[in-house]
Amino acid sequence: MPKRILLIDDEDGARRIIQFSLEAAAGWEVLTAASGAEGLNLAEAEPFDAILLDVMMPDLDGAATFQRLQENPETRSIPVIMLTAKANPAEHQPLVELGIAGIITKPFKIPALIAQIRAILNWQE
Amino acid sequence: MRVLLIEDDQAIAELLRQSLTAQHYLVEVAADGQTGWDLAETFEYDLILLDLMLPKLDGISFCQRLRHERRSSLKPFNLNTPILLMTAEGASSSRVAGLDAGADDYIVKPFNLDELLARVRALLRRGNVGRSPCLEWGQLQLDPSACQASYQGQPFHLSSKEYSLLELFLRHPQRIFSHGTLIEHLWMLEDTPTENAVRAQIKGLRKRLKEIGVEDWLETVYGLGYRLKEAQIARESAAVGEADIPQQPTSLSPYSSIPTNPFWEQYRAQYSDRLSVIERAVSALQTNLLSEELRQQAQREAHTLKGSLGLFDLDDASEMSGQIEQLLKTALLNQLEQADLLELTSKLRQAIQPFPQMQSPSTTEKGYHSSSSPEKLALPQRSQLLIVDDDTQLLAFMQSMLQPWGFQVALLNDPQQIWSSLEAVKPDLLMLDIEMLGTNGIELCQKIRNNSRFGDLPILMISASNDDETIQQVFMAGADDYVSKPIRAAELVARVIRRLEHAMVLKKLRGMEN
Repeated sequence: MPKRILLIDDEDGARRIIQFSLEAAAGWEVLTAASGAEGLNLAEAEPFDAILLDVMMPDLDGAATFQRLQENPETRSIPVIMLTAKANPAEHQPLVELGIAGIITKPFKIPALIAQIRAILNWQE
Repeated sequence: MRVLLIEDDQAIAELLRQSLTAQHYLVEVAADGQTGWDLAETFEYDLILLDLMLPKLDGISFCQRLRHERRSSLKPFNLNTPILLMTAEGASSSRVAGLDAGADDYIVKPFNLDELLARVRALLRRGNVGRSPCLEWGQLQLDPSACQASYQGQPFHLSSKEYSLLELFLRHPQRIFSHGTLIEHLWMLEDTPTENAVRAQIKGLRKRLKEIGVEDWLETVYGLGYRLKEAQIARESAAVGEADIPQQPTSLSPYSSIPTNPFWEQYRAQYSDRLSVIERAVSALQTNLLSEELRQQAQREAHTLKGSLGLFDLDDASEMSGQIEQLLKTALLNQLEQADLLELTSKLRQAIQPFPQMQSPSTTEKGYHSSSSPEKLALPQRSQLLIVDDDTQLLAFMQSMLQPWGFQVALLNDPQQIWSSLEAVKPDLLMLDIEMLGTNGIELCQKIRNNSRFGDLPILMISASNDDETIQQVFMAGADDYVSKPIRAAELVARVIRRLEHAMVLKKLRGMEN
């Protein structure tokens, strides 16, 4: 069974290209959500091996979405990787302290993204 | 350019028809919504002018059907053709309903004819080309508002058909036009010419442009049709005539003239809008009118651009966005910083400008000439392809080349699973790499040829070498054709289509025999 990933990002272009690339290059199944709220609904409704979560989103941002995922017993155990364009490690610390599985800094190249996801989640495929 | 005018008021229809025809548009008129729909289902148009109140099928319903119809068995005609809605109702509710239904713009009757023609030109630009009102190819320029062609600033005369041909190529710089597609765009139904007549027009246009010093502007894509060349490449290369087009795989530099990212065109406008916010902020800053709210908004947009443009291989643009973000973090910028911000914003605009190949060659940025969608060619699309290669990146790359043409593409990176994949996917064509880890593609090809279930399957081999011995082995093993790496999109698509068409003909012949 291919790994199933939920990608939550409000930006159409990034969502589409990451989804396409992960499906084509890594062979993972990627479902997408355009907002934190939509992502929460999807995460509750379907099983996922990991969630890729953009930090900066309107309404429910990445941190708030992650906290809601943690509060729900159905979604608490799904590893979450945050995607952020903030390059300063000091700015990552509050996110890391939330208990996320990892953080990936934009801009990234797709092969690097795949490698980082595999490394963070220790996926041996 | 071909325009479908759907208008039940005969007087207005005739006035519009005459005005548009005078601007070199080919106009077909339908007097009710249903007739318009029948035409839109059958022929491809560059623009639809649509009245709101129509008998049989009203304008709103027409838009909704056109935009949302899923007609997988039919060609995807006009799904994205711009629609200009004409309405006598000034109420914003009806305009909103029209735009929500899928219209791209509206004009309220009674309208000013010049304004309508300007909106028509704007819509034709919006979907297909850069935003400059003039179409350019190097120093060749076409001004659609005046129907005037010029070269190096000197106007020159073209016949009506030559002008229309040139305009079509300039509006769709990456698109390949077959003879059939050219006929669809430039000739009326009752006036359909033979392919030879189309060739003669192309030849005439080439000759006319050569007379004034424009050469090597149009390439013949083997097996597919004609396409406008990149202005920069054309200037550098010697003249290449139709007869010189290679019929065998070439070894051009990797991915030349191939969009580096098939998604860029789709999202360019969104990122351009984000940049517009930054530009507004920079402009306000110049006049000391930058509000705190706009500064923060511009900073957020720069942040997003930094993160996202790299995904589309626009690394420089991503870096510039990061620098802009840093500058915008400061509420008070000194003169030097303001100058930096202005320069960076301007450079960023150049980097993501729509269709840079339409600008002067000096500002052309190679590599982002993403495809104008080629899905409208009348070819055996929707065919299911299976590509087998142990290189997942190459698989993804080939998928990105083929999917925009409407092919269904299945990928397999483990050749050991070929048989189960063939059963599951039931492809119309198989593409097989020759050199795969632990598997010899040529041997695999032979096995498939000897298999009772898949023996007739068209097979296209992918090879890193194109020496005589390899080519001989490929065909001895029963393959139908081969493509050598580095793979060129146009060649790959041409060979896939040729194999599929060939298979269809064979199938028909066998059906006739039985």
